[in-house]
Amino acid sequence: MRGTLMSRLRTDVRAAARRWLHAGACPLACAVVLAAASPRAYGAPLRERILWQEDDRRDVPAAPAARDPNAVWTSTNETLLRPIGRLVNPVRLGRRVGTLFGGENVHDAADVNALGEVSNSTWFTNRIGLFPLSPERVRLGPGDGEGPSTEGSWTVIRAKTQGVTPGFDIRDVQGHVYLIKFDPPGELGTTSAAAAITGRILHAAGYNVPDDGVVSFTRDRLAVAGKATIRDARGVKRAMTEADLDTILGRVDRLPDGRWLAIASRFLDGTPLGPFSYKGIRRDDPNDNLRHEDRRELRALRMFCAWLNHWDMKEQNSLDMYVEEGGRRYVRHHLIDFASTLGAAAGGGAQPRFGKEHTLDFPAIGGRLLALGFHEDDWRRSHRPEGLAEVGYFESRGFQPMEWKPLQTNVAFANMNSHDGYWAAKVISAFTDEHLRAAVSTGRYRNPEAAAYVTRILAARRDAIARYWFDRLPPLDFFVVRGDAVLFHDLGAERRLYPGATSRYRVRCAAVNSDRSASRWTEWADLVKTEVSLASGPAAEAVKGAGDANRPFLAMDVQASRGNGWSRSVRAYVSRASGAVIAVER
Amino acid sequence: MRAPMLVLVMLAVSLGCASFALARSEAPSGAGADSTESYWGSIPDDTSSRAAFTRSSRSVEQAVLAPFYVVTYPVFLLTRGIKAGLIFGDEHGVLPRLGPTLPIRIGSVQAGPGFTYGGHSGFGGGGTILVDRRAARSDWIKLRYITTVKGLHQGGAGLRLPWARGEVEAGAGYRLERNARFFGLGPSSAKADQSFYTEEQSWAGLSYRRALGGPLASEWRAIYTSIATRGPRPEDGPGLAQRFASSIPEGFNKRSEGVLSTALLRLDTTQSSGRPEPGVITQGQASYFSPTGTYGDTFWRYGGEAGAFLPLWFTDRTLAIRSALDWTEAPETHRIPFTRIPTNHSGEELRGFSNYRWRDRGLLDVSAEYRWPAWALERAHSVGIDAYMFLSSGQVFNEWHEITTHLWQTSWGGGFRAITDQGFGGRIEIARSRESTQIRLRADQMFDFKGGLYAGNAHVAAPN
Repeated sequence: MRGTLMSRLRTDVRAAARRWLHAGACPLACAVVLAAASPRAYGAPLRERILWQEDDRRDVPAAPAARDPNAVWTSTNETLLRPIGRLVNPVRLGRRVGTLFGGENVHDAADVNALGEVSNSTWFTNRIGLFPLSPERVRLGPGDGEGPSTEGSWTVIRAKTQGVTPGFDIRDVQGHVYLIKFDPPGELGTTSAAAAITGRILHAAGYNVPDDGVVSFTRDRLAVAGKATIRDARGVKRAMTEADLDTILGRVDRLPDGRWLAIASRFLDGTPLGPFSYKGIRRDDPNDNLRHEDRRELRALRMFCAWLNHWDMKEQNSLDMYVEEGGRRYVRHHLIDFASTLGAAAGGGAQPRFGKEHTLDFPAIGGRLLALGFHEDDWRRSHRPEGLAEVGYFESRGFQPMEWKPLQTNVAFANMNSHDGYWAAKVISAFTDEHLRAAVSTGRYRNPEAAAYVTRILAARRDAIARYWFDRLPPLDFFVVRGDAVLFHDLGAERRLYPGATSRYRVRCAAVNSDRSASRWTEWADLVKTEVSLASGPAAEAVKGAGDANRPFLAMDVQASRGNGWSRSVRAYVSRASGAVIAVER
Repeated sequence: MRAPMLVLVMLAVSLGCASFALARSEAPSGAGADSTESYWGSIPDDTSSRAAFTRSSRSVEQAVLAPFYVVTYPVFLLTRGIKAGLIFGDEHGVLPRLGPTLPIRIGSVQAGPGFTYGGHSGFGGGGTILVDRRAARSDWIKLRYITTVKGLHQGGAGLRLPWARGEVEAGAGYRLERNARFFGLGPSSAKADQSFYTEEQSWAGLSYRRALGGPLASEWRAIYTSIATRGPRPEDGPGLAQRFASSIPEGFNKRSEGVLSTALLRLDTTQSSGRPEPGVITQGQASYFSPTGTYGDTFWRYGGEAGAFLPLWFTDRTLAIRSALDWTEAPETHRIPFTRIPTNHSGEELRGFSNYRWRDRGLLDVSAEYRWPAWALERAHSVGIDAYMFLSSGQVFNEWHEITTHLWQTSWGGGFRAITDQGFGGRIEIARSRESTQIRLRADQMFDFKGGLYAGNAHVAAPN
């Protein structure tokens, strides 16, 4: 009887397993295995050479074709179709299962060097994250920070009347061309300040941005060029007159002294090729070899956008330029149009919902349905700061970095993993209050309290982002060998993110070979400061007896404690031959 | 004891500050002078630190995903189709014009589509044409027609004009329902007795509405109505005559014609049609039917409803409650066609039951609908979608004492209401009762007066 039961049970189990495999579990299982076995960026064989420059400025003799993605399709695709695709993608599902066992939800970014830094490229240039930067340098941004020359008049060369905010292009006496854009009605100073401030911050972080500056001017500063053209409300192009200019100026708000306030955005050098996509590559650009969704600077841009509440982030707010530099022609990638940041909206009508939900946010909708109306969305309780008309919906109360959402998400943002987030936090936390004050000063707020408010909120959101990621990945960074010691920085303590907490550190070491395998780890030893001696202690113990040929590298695990247990380890690798730190894992 | 402790604390604090200051001075976040020395030390700017990436084919991942791609290929093709359609529509000006185009407006005439789903009639569509009064910018002629896949045809024409400090409405309409249903009379009728018949109605009338001050208004109506019944289409069975051969209801296979005269008093304090929060919406009416044809007798019809929108917690949370009562009064000897007595024919009473499920001289219905916002396009109190849950219960009765708990019917359900710039946009709901599930897609909303003759709704059966 018992034997029969067991036999039937076995048969049933086999049949169930067969059904399971036939039903598609096979690809899922493969995906899990793939996810677990996929090479990690930090797991590559150790090499002395560290990648700091991506060689993507090679000459491209023929300009790639200009892109003009359809905004309706892009929005539909990014809002509706791609999120569903990501949800059912077996590899992503497998990785999601893997996160239960400590894995990453997405494979690591591809343009990262062994130290976890983004290499310089046509996409990104390391600035404040890697180098000491003066507040003045932040204030100047990509240009001289002064906008069009105030010598002579500005010649209007073309204009548009469509849209909520009309604008026109001018040429100053130096020959530079600027786009002059105005604030939407009733929002004088709001979007222009946001555009200037955000541009400065993103530039200091390392992104390519246009030189945007807030300008004010009188009517006599402007003169319509003889060949100026205007595109009217019906889109018809014709010659522009002084009356057209007066009509445009008559539609926008003015300062109390009668001057006009606007953002002047200097035209980028080169030939415009349209926006870049956050997914895939530009196939006709031989320098564009890494999938954009695998670029850390684009993945981590999500955190910068969260910081600045850049809710209108979409590929149409980017621009590729075909430039010539040093005799080579190549494509440089820019972020543009930052008027819809810091709680402002370029088209007017800023809403507290912006930055809190996607346009179609199915988890949020589902949550509201499940909550049956007994939970109020935070954004419905948000208000613009009292008495600060120049500031939009920009606040730090309840700000959660990972809960911030642009209206339209993209694949790169969805691909952000904890290493990308940590990197963004590291760069963002490098901005001191002085840097922020310098950036905010470019907004030229008329009310000093508005400038103080925006600075304060930026600082609070910066700290929230840094704390979020530094709590998850210990911010022990910038390992360098000085003399006979390895020095490192505790960014959490140095950037005052853990006030009142006493930080302690400990280390253990091992001699490892190039594939990072160690024979034996030493015991943990406490450190008195952010410095590990190579001449004594665990480091010396680890290399004792290990031949340089067999174990040419020294690995050291460093942990921090702020009174609530030891953090995860940060592992630094030191080349015993060159005496340099050649890799860091976290 | 305290002094040494104080000294120790001060020493500790000063040491802490000193060490912090030291750390700060070396911190890689200083706002000091610019430097080309990175926090990792000097960065070489030569070929040793430069590399070009190569394009990855992701062959392993592609191989793993191959079965997924094969299975989802139809979906991929569908998305390509959507893409092509959207881009074509956008670049050829179809999409940008669609919003302003619907309803289509030519001068003072505008036309828009209509739709319906649910009840017996199934899915259907039609259209509405409105003609504005140029000066007042308010519509004054309305033509409406709708047809469904299951044989419903309804058309109506309405005219609205200001007259004598009030408003006059004139209207006429026709409705043919080929699969109307009869389950028997009374609160004990059984679902198993479902039978089919064809109902044909037509009406024409005049009404005068006048504000009495504030939200109070009165209305007088006189409508000629004609209603005829006959057997169903061959494909709809069983027919009423077969199922109820031994108890054919009064008026079947006959034409009832007459004039229905109504006096009505209405109180409406709501401000918005899309998402009304506070407000009361109440009316009472008395009607007298006098037959004009060879068949039928006189009777009185009384109807009343009271509803309220109660704002609840947070934003846009509202409880909408409504109770409605209809009663047909006539001596026992009077012949009143079954098609003229109250029934749940509109999908607004006893919403979890099929249309016409309940019929009798009286109908009492109580509804409560709790609404809350599910999605907002940009802001609160604006374009979005609200979710709602409702309870709809009641019963029909022949005598007042028949209103008892064991004959009381209850249904419940939920749905979504679309709120547009112009107000209410439509709703989709699913309603459940002990005997059926009803799904309805409607462009009209509950808890609202459906307009009079002008709106073009049927004015034959009660309630209306």
